[in-house]
Amino acid sequence: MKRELIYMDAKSSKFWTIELAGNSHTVTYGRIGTDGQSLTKSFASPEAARKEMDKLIAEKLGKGYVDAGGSDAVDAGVGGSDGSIPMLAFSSINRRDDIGQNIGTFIGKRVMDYDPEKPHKPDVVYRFRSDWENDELLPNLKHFTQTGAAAETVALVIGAWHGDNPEMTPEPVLDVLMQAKDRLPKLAALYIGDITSEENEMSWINQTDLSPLLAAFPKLQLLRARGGTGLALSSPKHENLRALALETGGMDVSVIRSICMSSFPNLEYLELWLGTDEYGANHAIADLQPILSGRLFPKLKYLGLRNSQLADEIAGVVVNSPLIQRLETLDLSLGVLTDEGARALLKLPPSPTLKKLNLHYNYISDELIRQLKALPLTVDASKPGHMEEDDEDRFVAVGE
Amino acid sequence: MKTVLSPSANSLRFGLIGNPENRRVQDFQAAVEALGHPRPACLAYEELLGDPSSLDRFDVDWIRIDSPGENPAVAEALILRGGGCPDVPLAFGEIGFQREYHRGFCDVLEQIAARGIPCVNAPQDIAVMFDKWQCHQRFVDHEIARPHSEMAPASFLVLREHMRAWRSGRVFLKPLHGSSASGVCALRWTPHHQQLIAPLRIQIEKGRTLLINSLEVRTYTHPADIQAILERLLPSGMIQERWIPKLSLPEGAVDLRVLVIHGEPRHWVVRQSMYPMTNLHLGNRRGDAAVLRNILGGKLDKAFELAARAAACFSDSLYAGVDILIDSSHRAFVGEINAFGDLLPRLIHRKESAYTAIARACYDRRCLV
Repeated sequence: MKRELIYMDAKSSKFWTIELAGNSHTVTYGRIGTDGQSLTKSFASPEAARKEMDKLIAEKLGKGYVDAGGSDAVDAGVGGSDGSIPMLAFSSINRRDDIGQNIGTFIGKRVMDYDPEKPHKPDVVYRFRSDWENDELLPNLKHFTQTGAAAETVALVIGAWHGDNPEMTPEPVLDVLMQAKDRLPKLAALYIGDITSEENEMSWINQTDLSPLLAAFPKLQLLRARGGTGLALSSPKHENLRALALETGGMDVSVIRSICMSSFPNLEYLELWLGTDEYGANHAIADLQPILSGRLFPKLKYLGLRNSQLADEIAGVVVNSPLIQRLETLDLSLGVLTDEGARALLKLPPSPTLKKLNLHYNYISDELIRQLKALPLTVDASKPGHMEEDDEDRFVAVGE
Repeated sequence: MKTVLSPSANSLRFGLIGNPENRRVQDFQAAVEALGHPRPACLAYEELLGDPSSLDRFDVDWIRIDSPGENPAVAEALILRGGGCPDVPLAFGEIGFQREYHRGFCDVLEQIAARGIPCVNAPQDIAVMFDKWQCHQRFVDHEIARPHSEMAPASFLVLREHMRAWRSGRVFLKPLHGSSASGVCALRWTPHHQQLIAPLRIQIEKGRTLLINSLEVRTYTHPADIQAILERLLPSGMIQERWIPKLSLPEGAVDLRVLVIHGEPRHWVVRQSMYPMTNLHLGNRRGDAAVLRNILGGKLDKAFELAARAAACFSDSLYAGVDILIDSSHRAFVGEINAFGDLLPRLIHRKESAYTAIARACYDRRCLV
């Protein structure tokens, strides 16, 4: 008997398998793409080995591991032979405490800063960025697109583009990418804005209209971006886009309206960091209604309305949404979710598909967390260690 | 209270100047005793300040000068000695009279120097370490990597003009004579935003704006708050230091505190914070040294070398705590040097605590003289 679990987030992408044979079991674990290491343990009886195995599996599931669901995802990291990215690999930042650092993995692959001096590594995702002293982003990106490796690359990460000038937008970066689009025929995943708060506050990052990227890269499956100022999707359509993730400290209502008027017929994953009005959020719950009505994205499996000051209101409305009958994951994490929202979530109707409720970073009392955990779902209601339960100033995870 | 140990015949008499109730003094005394030496006598700052002749009667062969901090009576006496006004008592935790405090402390250091007893760390060195602009200049003269710095204008209106002229920027504003992050502000701005992050809160009392040290780091975004804070702090003198983005790891940005003893980088700790101030008393945590070593590889040793070179700029001091900044490209810079940067409880290097290592080095060096 064998069970294969995997875990992916912004920090790591790892596998864990356990195989039972008589009165022993063998655990193999490691980074996805490596062989990992194995450990075999023997027990007094087959029953004892089985019991220990079940216990270990439960522990891993509690930590956010999921079943690998076929070996494709594990072996390739980026899905099977058709090049499709597994759903799990769309998720990036799961924990509040991971927001402050650059990502370590993207679509399940290790992220490395591009160094034109070093030999090409096929199994990593390159990040391009400038820092306070060196404006290396554009020259490095241009250099990379001229190499043979560009033709095989499936994912790119763009870090801080502003160097020493926080007012700069990523437009020059987009120009380089679009000029090189024929040299990047397999590009399937882009992150525009892997920027830490030490580099620039999320709500100060100057973004731009990202929809030209959608037009330039027809094979794009995932578009992730950070920063709300100037963010736009003026022409929101793409035949193959499966995942859209926009991280802001305050989302402008025009972005939400663009999404509500979009044509993303294959969208399976929608993650919006809505933020707070102090940092530019000017939307109301009604602006989210077209998304929650379920008419927009027939294939949606993951909905994340995260980092929102409206988390309670969203919870109140989402339980009545037809989406509940097709979503696998509902994510209201990083926001100001209190007992009021928790009570609403307790009324979630039975769903044939819904498996996971992510409420990490919340203001819910222990009693209601206990009740939520009794739902027939995997519920993550964890809180960062330093979060005060009766904090007077309740605030989203990322404003500034 | 006068504490003078009878000198034992075969042992040099070691003396401390400090606040005897403070764990810095007590832990150091214990460390010396544990090495088999007599417990060093301690001359209390309170006594020294109340009766200057107490120093003349302090009959020891060499002296370790410790921090005068964490004692309100001593702080008040130092401020008075530095020319501070006795009529306006400081509220608990209030940031104020830093210049007078520093002047008073320097005066005490001069008095100790005049006494002529050899000191583990020379009073002149300690005085410079407590002046951020002098420190910066000394580092620049010795070609030690430092973030670009200049003296901040004494007037907020002038600073605001600079901010407008530069359009956007990010600087640390640090009181010239502060310690423990007190009054340190991380300021960044664009034409559309301003943000000041500091471990302090604003308190209005009888029409007076007070700045109170806070263990909680706060973020101010309202221009009026930022103005109120800087109008209080700038006139006392601040250094304006380029804010280099620090290397960020899981759970926050990091820097290093490296204790250099007798030229050798010894005890070190990764300080980690979700805020620009990594001082450990601000609820920040010690980061994972193994993780950092893994990320930095050989560049970590370069950081230690830099710490040693920074400490070597103070050739009359046996030890110093050096703060090293690492940027996201793993370049290292000296943040600060701390005369009393040796309070590193529970940190063990080569089986010795920081105090034990310093105590041993004191005796080793003393024997060489």
